[in-house]
Amino acid sequence: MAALTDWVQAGLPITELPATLQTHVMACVQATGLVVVGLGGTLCVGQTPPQDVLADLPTWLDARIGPQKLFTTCELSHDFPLLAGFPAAETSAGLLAIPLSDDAQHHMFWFRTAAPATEPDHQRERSSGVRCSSSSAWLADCVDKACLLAAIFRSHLAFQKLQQSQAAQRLHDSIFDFCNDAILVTDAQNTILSANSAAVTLTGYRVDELVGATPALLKSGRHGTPFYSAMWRMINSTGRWQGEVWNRRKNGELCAHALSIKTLHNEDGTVWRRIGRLADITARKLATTALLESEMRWQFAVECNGEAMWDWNVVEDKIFTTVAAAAVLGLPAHTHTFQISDMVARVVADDRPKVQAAIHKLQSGKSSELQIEFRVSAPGEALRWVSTRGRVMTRNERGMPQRVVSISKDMTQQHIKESEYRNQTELLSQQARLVLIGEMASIFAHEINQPLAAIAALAAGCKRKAAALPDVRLLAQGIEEQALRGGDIAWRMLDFSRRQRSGRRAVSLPQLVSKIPGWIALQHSQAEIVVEIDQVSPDLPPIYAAPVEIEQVLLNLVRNAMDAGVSNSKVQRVVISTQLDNELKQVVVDVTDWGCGLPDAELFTTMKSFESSKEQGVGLGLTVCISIVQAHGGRIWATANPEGGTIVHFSVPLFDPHLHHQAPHPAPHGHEET
Amino acid sequence: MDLSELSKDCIGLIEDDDAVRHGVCIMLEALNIDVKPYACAREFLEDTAARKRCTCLILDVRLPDMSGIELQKQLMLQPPVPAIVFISGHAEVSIVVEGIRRGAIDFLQKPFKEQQLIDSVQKALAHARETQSSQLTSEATEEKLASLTGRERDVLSWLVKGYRSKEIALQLDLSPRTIDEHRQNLMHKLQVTTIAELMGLCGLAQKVQ
Repeated sequence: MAALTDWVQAGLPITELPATLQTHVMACVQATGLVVVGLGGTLCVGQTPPQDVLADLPTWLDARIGPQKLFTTCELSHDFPLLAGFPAAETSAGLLAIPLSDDAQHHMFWFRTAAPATEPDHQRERSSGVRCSSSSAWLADCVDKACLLAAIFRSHLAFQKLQQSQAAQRLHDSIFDFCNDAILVTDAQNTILSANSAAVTLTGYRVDELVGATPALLKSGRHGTPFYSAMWRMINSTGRWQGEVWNRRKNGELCAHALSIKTLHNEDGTVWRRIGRLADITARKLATTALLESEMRWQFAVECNGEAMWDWNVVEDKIFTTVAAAAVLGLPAHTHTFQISDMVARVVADDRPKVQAAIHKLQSGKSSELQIEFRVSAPGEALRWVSTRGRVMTRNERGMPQRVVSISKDMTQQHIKESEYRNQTELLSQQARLVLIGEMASIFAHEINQPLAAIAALAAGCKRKAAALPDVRLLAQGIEEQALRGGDIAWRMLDFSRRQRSGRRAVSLPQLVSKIPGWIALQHSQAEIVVEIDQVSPDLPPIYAAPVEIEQVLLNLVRNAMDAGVSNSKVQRVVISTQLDNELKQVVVDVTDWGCGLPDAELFTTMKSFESSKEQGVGLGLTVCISIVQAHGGRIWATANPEGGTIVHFSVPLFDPHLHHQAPHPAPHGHEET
Repeated sequence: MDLSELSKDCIGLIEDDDAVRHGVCIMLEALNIDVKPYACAREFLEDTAARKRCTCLILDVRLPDMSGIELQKQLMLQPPVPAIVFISGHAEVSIVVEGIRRGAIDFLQKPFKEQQLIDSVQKALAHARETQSSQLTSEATEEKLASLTGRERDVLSWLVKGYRSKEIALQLDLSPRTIDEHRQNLMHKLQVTTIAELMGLCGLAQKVQ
């Protein structure tokens, strides 16, 4: 018995009892008919009642005990409260309930199923309920045993609990240590109480170095006081903090940690513990920084280039854009991302179908390039021509586009230039045509009027000499009349063709000449010859001329000079210059080339007629020039360039208000007059 | 040149087309004039004798070496300028106007009637004569004025202002008789009989000057 007591005090479970003691316990149980069952369903020793029994123990007990139930009622110490079941008058069974745990979840039920053979009298006596005292020694013995057992089982239960909590603790410890993230547990004074192995790895300090220190051990010096102040302010007010911190390992190495702090409070609200979790993000941070830098460099390069680039994530329909691209596409300022529908919404309605078609082609994988031109209409802005080129950069496993990079350019200026160019070229050819037609009419009229004049003259002579021959005279008269009629027709045709053209006025020759290189460049963009203007003073007095015609003369002469210059010259230039001749009240214009030279400089001076010019193979251009210059009252001639090549000169009269009247403002085709 | 001595009028014809040139010559046969034909401006300018004799020119606007207008301008640099009749197969209004404003007599469109040409030529010749005679008159007057002595000139200047002999005598500090003598001499030299004529002559001289 003494050994048992010691054992109980040691708090060991029943299964660890020495075998003899176990037998003893088991004997007691059987002798006393003890069934120990916890109300929570845990069995300590004896038979395990099934679940339904536990649910309604009294009923079960009733069934088991039956009519032979025996109740003992006795006054026991306060440790053993009695569960009064049946009144003393009824003698069926005795039930004793002894709480085995503090929370009264476990009770030991002791009941007697039969009186012990050795003590029938007691039993009977008891059952009659008259005399308790005679059975008290036995009862006391039973109670002793019961109390011992109770103590055994109580400690067993406690031990089990301890085991459970130890197991839980072990599990908790394993989890604590198994965690990849470093965990530090501090008390309210911020002293480290525990650290897991990850913390050791992370910080480079041993556990014994960490425990007892404060997290200040890890300070990197990269964060200033304001940073820590803000952190503690948040921790103290909300109990939590989350962010990125730079710390220093034991070896001095700098590393970036993602830190989370949680506070555990006591029941009275004071701080009990703080848990800090650290994850090493150095690699990630460096990678991010590197990526960010790389992106910034790229962005910078793109921005510097002035290109409006946008990056389209087709899958998510998210487009990242540079400031320039947003501006070009008419998106609001400060737009960093947009959707493809935003872009399309700003396209002018007429252009939308083709834009959508091109986009669809790209999205459906039919095309890997995007090449569209469209007009953008942004509120408060003028219409803008935009050219967009894009290419698919990545595709998914099914070959569908995932990422498209595009550049959009504002083409408005170019468009304006192009239509201007088109208009100018049209105008130039129109003018050339009109001038040509006009000059052709002039040339033709002049040429036809010569023979007609001769015919009229000869017929007149005939008339005179045939004074005596009336028939002949009549015929001669007829000839004269027809000749004059022919002339009339020619003049009327001439008048008609002239009405279409602009007339003569005071014109600034320098302004007119300054346009020539531009016109030539327009029509001969690949020419290797440069047209220069030399010594044309802007103070030159105005000439009296039809500007369009003089332009045509210059253009023709410059073209001829350029043709002459192509084959062999060292100097690839054509120079236009002017000289004022105050005596003859004219300006002489020189067109100089350093080309192959005219085979016959007399060419100009011997030009008698249209036929002769054709024989010389000069071409219509030159004929027109001569015609225009002479019609203006000027002269055209050529001399040899002493440095090799030709100089063509032509004179144009100066405007004299006493002699010249200005033609009314010209031609509806909008030729700009100087 | 003496006005009384009438030689044949001389006309220059500058026209590059042979047939037209020939035809014009035929037309002008009806008139009793001397026609000098040229095929280009240079030919005419080089013929300095004809240049002096021709009082009238028939000029085509379009010539191989220069335009008729330019030739007109050149001729105007060296007076006396012959009276010009322009002929043209295609000339524009502005050219015509320019030519006329510079003093051309007429502008004929080819083909023209014989009569048109003749009328123009005669008009030109008449104009030429008039210019010549006024030129001559002024030349003659110049000569006569040059023949006066200094004293005679002085008297003339006062006379022309309307002063009488007595007043002039006072001005020049001479006797009225001397003044009268000067007056008689100068009027004789200038071949005028009345003061009115004198004044007219001087007026003309001044105008010509």
